[in-house]
Amino acid sequence: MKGGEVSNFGEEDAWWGTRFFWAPAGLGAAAAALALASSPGIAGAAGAAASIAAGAFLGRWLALARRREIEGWRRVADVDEAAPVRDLISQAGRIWSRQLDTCRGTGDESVAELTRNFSDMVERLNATLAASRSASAALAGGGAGVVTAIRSSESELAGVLETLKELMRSRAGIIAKVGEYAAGLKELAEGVQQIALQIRLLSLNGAIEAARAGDSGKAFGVVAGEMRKLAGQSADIGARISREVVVVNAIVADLLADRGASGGERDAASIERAERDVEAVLGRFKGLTSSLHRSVEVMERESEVLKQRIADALVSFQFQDRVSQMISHVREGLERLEGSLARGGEDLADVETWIEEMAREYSTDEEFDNLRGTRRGRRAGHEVQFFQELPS
Amino acid sequence: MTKKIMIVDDSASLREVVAIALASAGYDVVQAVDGQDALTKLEGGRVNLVICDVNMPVMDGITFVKEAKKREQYRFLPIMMLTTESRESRKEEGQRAGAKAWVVKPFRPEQILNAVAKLMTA
Repeated sequence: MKGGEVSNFGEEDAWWGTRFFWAPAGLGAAAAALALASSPGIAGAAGAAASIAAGAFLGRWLALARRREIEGWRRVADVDEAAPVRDLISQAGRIWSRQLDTCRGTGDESVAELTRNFSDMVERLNATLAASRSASAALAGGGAGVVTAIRSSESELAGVLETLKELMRSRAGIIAKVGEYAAGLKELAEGVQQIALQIRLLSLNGAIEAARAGDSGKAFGVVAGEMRKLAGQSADIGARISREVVVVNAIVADLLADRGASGGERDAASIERAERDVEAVLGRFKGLTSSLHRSVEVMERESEVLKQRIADALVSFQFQDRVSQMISHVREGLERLEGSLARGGEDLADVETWIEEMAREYSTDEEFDNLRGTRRGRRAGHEVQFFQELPS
Repeated sequence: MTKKIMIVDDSASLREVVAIALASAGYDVVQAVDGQDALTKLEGGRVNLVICDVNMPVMDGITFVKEAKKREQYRFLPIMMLTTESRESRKEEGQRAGAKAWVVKPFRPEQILNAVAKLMTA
């Protein structure tokens, strides 16, 4: 651009006030002086006048030609340079504004969605935590706790095993008693048979004596006959009792034999095995519940850490709002620039005022940092400021 | 009875963050996108406290506070400003308009909850 030359011939300058006029006019004056010096008189004066007129005419012509040339440059500059640049900045500015608007809107929507998701995560985490706490409480404590239930079951099962042992012992005692009673019955049956034999002998003797007594002994003979029948029946009953007792004794003997050396040991072994099984099952339950309890504790600790991290993330999300404000202000600045260009750019000459106006809407620390060209980094944790005395 | 708090901010994400913090403490939350929207929604029902941004389109936060305080029924309604503005001149504007507290974003949820609890009992 030929700015330097243009400044030497401003619009306010008259053609006679420029060096383009005065240079040839000066030369004309010098020629006039020479003409007067070389030929004084009318001829010299005429030559001097002609020189001055010629210089002035040439000067005027040159000055006007120069002005036309400069005006031509200005028109060229207006048409070929300033206008396309203004148009470009204006159009690009509108596009950038829209892009920034989209960035701002999309960013805000995305962070809002992200925030809702994090909130949902916190709610679910709280629900999980509440459920695990409840499970942990159920496992660990209270009357209905699993650990308490296991302890109670352990005690009850030990009681059941003890009862079983007692039953085993009682069964052996009963069998032994039955054996004793059976032996007694056998003796009684043998006694009955013995008595029946003696009665039979006695009735035989009675029948003999009755026969000897003749008619007077007939009645006694009938009695002796009946006694003999009775003795026969008693002997039969005694024999039947003996047979039954033999059967009972055989059964008792079998039972006692079974309980003897191997049977008792087998019972004891069964009881011991049952005790071991019960202990093993309860031990496994205890192991499982303590492992579950530890897992719940770990989960609770980790959940608290996770909740804290999410809370931190929610604080970080708030920087989106600051970014959004900064984008808005950049967009507004572009719109201001576009407006200035549309008005011919007259207010752009005072750069300081223009920047001051642009920064009037700035609000964040980061914007002021950028305005001043300083950098203090991201800040957080301003205190709440109350505007009146409040009861603590 | 559950206390109701209105959050006024043109940023959806910020409204969500504040709403989450308040809801976690058991408050009912109603949202408005600018001062004008807030004035309309205030008419809709009892609100115990308002948390309001400063720079918003349509009607900014300071204007909203002034407009709310002009109405007899909201003269004693506590309003807390929540903004990126940390300039003292803006805080003074807020205080003159009738705001009760000023919080600069970003905030930690417990800060807001403590401030809300204080203003509720004032």
